Amino acid sequence: MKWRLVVIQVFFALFSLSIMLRLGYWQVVKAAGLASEAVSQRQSFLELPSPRGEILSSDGFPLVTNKEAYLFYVNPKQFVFSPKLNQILPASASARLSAIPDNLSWYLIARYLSTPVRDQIQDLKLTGVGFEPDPDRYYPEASSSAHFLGFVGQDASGRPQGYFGLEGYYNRQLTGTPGKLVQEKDALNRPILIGDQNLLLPQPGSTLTTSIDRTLQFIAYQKLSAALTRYSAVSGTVTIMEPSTGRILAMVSLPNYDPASFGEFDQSLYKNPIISDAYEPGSTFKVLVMAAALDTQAVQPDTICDTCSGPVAVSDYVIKTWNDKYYPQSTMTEIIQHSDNVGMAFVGRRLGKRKLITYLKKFGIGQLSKVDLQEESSPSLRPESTWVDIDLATASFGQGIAVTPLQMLRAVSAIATRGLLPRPRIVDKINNKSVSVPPPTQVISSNAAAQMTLMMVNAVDSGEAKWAKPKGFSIAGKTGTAQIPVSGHYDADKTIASFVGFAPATSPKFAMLVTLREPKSSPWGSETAAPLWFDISKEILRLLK
Amino acid sequence: MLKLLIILNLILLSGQVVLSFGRATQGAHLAGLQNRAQTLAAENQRLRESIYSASSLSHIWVLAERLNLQPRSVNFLIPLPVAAARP
Repeated sequence: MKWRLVVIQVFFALFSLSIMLRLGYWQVVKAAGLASEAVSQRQSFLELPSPRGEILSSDGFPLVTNKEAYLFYVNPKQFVFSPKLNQILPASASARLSAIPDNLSWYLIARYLSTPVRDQIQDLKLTGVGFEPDPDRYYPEASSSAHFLGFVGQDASGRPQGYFGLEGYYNRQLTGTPGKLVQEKDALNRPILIGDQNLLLPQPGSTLTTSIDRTLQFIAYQKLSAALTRYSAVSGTVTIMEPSTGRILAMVSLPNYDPASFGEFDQSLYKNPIISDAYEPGSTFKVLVMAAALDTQAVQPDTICDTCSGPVAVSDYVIKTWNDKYYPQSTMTEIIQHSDNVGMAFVGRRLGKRKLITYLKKFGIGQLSKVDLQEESSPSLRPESTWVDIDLATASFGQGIAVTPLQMLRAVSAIATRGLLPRPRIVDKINNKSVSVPPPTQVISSNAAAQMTLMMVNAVDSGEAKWAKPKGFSIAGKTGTAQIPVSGHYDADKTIASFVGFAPATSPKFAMLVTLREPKSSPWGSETAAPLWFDISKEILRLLK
Repeated sequence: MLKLLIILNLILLSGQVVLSFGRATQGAHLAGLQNRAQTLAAENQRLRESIYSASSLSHIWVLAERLNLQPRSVNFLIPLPVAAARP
């Protein structure tokens, strides 16, 4: 009997020991793992998206803002396909739906779905589907500002990344910091107030306030669109700048793309031709060469050209005027008025290639303007040692040399502002704090700039484009018609027509450059770009009164 | 004295149970408020989009054209300056 009692006692002792050992194993050896498993069951981690910064026009209206959108995903292990999804989702998403891998527990189907589309999918009451907030960019003024705004795509890890224009240049400032919410929840996914909570608020991206006048931007866009049709031009640009400060008031380039659906457009349209495409400026360039000659006193406004009576031979080439008309004994003012290539070759010779190159560099030709836009590029000026006589002659009337539209406008702005070369810029404020900009640099004397301005006023009043000038305004300007180099020679039929100028000439409020590539109705800047320039300037002068 | 302490302890325990229960059940209320805040924020953003869309110049331009407030566009068969310059 006694041994039975001993057996039971031993059994209970061993049983108790095994329970104690098991408890010890759970509470000591496995304690950390079990505790973290328990936490993960009740604790939820939520990333709070940070809105990307807005880009505003000068009057505070958003040129780019954010709109509500959703990321749509499925859990392939639970998801049951419905054919109705193909009718709701875009084609690219439908393609992903048909190729869902089975071994994943999260698979992205589509991004940037609108709220109505999300609601339609939710109404299907499918299992294994989910949505996450995925804010998208919204452009209230549509594509009219596409080239300087740029667009938002994704980087290698799928996070939003700005490309081109302001989105690319200010990507770091526009990108916010996402917030985090760690919260304990019950079995019904309701917050447990007595549990741990940890909230890190998202930091929104900075808001950029630009110098863009959205009314001028819209007018420039409308007028340029109409002009491309009217003159059957391949492309065109309009750039308007406040010459005293370098603030860009409007910047339009056509054809353009829709930044909201950039993927549907050819990638060649993404870059901004105003800051990255080089062109031969033609006769508009004469004002820079003449301004340099006036500043060095190589010529005076009343200096007589004694070689202007006919074509001039330079090396193996013959320089002619654009219309084969010649004006013997022309003054410098008349050379600009008639846009006389022979006269400009005379000015070039007087100036000399060393001084010409020095002044071109002073005007910012061959250098980046450092405008606050991504992807700016600049054709480089050839070194002085490679220049021969014909290069000096052709460069003096704007052929054989390349500039970007922004470089050209910036240089002419220096003439408008008594010789001060501005630093172009678009963003005035970041989160309401003014952006500091280096002061303009003196590139020619105030006297030379004033003399050049008078010549440009005379060119508008008495030159080839005088019929298009609005009455009652003093406008300084110059037409340009440049042939397009193709495979080492100039295309006989294709031109880039342009007009550059500023108004009112006595106290310029704006400087503007208009370029039209390959206009078919007339190849001349005086008959295409100049009317467009004056058409836009009438509206600007009315608005800036 | 001992009885008093026991009673006091029981009262405190009861109070703790009631408060804990109350706080725990407030989670449902908080979840409701969070959903409401999200709905209102989304609605606010949609309304802002509508305001921006309605006050954009391109939209106003289209409306003005519909109301015949814009001059009709003129199509030039040849550029006006060339035509005007001809004798």
